[in-house]
Amino acid sequence: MLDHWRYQKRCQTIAQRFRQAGLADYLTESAALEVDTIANTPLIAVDLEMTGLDARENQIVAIGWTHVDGGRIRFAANQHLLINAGQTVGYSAAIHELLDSDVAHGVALEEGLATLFEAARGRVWLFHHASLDVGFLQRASISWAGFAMPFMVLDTLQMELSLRQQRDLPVQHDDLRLNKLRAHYNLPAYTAHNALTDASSTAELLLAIAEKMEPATALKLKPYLTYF
Amino acid sequence: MPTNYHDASHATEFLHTVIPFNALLTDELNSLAYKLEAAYYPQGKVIFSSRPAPGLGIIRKGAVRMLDDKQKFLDKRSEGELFGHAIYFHGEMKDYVVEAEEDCLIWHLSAEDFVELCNANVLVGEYFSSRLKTRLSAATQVKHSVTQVRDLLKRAPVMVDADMSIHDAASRMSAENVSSVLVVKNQQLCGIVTDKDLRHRVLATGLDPSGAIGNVMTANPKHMAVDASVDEALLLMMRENYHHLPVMDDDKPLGLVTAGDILRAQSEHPLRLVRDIYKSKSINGLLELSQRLTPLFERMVTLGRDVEQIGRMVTLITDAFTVRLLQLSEQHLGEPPIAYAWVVFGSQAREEQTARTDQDNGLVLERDADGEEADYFARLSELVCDGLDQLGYVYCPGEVMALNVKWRVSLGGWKQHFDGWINEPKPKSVMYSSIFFDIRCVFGKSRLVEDLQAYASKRARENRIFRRFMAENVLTHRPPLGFFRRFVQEDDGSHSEGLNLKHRGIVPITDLVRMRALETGIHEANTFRRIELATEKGAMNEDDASSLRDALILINRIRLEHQSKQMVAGRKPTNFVPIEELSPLLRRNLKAAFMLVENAQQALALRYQVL
Repeated sequence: MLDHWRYQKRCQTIAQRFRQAGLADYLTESAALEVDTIANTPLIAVDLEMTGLDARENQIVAIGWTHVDGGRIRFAANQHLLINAGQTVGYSAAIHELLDSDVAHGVALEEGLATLFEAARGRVWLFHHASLDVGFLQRASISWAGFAMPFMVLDTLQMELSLRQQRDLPVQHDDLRLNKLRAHYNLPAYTAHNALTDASSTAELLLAIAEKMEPATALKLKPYLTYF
Repeated sequence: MPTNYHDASHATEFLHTVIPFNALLTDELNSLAYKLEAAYYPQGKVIFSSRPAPGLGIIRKGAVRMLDDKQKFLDKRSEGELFGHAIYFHGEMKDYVVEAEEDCLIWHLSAEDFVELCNANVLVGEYFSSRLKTRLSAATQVKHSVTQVRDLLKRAPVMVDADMSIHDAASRMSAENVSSVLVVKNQQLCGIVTDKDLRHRVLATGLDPSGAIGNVMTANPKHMAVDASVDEALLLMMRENYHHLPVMDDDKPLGLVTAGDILRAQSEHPLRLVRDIYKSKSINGLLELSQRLTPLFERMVTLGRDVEQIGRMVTLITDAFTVRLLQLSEQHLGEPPIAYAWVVFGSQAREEQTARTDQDNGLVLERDADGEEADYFARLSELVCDGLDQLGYVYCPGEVMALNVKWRVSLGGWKQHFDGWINEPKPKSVMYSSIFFDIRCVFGKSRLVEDLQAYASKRARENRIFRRFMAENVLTHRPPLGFFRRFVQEDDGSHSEGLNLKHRGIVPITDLVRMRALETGIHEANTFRRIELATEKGAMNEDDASSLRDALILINRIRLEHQSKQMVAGRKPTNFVPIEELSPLLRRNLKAAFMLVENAQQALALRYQVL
């Protein structure tokens, strides 16, 4: 509760200080957001591809997202942006299969962030393992907007973890990886690995977890929010 | 890999395996995918109970069951199947509710978007429009196809007298290898006995087999008149849950039809074949499926679908065989050492196949292959080309196949091929160009092919001399207008009694349109879509575009109708149409179509100053 109040204050304060049109709107709407159940809370599921795991050293090379409205993932909102980071993708190419030549077609990071935050207006963020991605996005927002953007997020990894803790279920090494969890919930295995499919995958996983946590009624999301 | 995009590629990939969406082009699939919404339903949850259904559900993962309004189980559907549309359960259309049988992920398409899709795409629309009815009514429009139960009779009925012992009757059934017999008394049909009756009424009850067969028969069975329609027979069977129906000519039993006979006669939807191909596990499985091709082609042609759709459907099947062979070969040989694209040329590339034809294909490798890599692709090509040959897509007589090392080279190698043809236009290279400029990737890394197309297209546009040679070549296939004045025969000795509609009608149009594509840098291979794109780009005016389009449709339709007649008569379809076979009206239309082609050729001749 206190966290939520603090988050709202922060959004409002920054929104007043920064008059950058799109951003101020994002912050104001984010502060005013009512969070209830999946059916009536708009979400944006996001995944990033990076050149490495260190937000200080490495850079974002791709951002993928989709929207969840009324408990349904809307393919019409699917978006995949390649980011021209000006840094070589190096060995990370082996993971995300993006080559320097691909990334060269990408948009500038600032433009990518502007598009992303526009798409995130009035929505709760959703990630799998949020701290990593949010770390990168905040880092990027400092050089873009001059401050670390506040985030109010749901994290499927954290939700599954608390589900298992509530029910005294063991957590083995690797159990909480996106693909492992998806198989656990009878969700399809996607062969292509990119930021967009991972964002969609995360959204599907959230729908599944919510049904398992609260089979009889609709799950209240508020207790699972994390603030950055 | 993509640049920046709105994308549902994981969705299109899956939709590609779903009947009937596998008939859609990638662009159409993309715009369909764009309209979908995904939802998750845990086991036991009702997915919808309202009527009419709020749209179409595509099962992406898991399974659902359908129940009628009394909660009675109707059917189960699983991954890759659909619900929400009108469904016939045992021949009857029923309302139903749907619930999750397992945890499942459903892709929803709204009712409006569904209707729009059906209206926009004939194949998809036809598939959903009360499928059974369409199939039956379509079949009745065709003279040769099975419309009366008479057509289903294969043999005289096996009949036994009502006084014969059960034992003797059963022996007779075994000897004749039938699953049912008709029982007669005084030459009159009085009953029927099936295998099932013997099981239930004799064996299960321990009845003495020396008793009379008349005691265990189904008396006064429902029967059909020999001139009754297949529809009626099928309806009766479904309503009464009969599997065998005696067929009578007045009082005389003529034979028996089974539900299986009817269903086999109502040949399948082509898209089902495509799906079965993708599910097939071996070359033998594919061979078996290829048996279904000829009747399917016959049916498509005789049903008179529109020419463009037939081309797409037949090519879809060829593509499916090709891709499946490649997948199976890769499984056998292991992962390919470097990326490659399997490309097809000619009519398969243009999606204009109307029958099983020669194979025209090649391999584009990511880079030059070293010894071991080259071996891999040699073996891969061998497996696929041999497989295609076995399936009836025989080796290309001109050896335009991946089997030929010349057409199994790197992207750079292909670019050199095109450079050679474009820089030194000789008769042979012009011939190659008209084959290889119609290119399409059916498997593998399509970017290699896009790259090659862009390159070849650019070179061709830059080189007017080359295009002039191409234009000259286009003009060698003239429409046979003289034919209408005097009945000139083709030179080809084997078919001296007709007009070669392919070489004199279709090829000239295809060539003309390819020229336009070369001039305007259109990478599409399909003639209809090339015309469309050329018009959009302003390279063709609306009049010329619709003239060529109409001419192509007309000539093709006449050709297909002729081939259909040949197939009905049990002959091999050819492209030669005897002019006296055509009605005066058709002759006039055909002549008009040829004149349109000639006009377009004259315009081309002027443009390139060739005579």
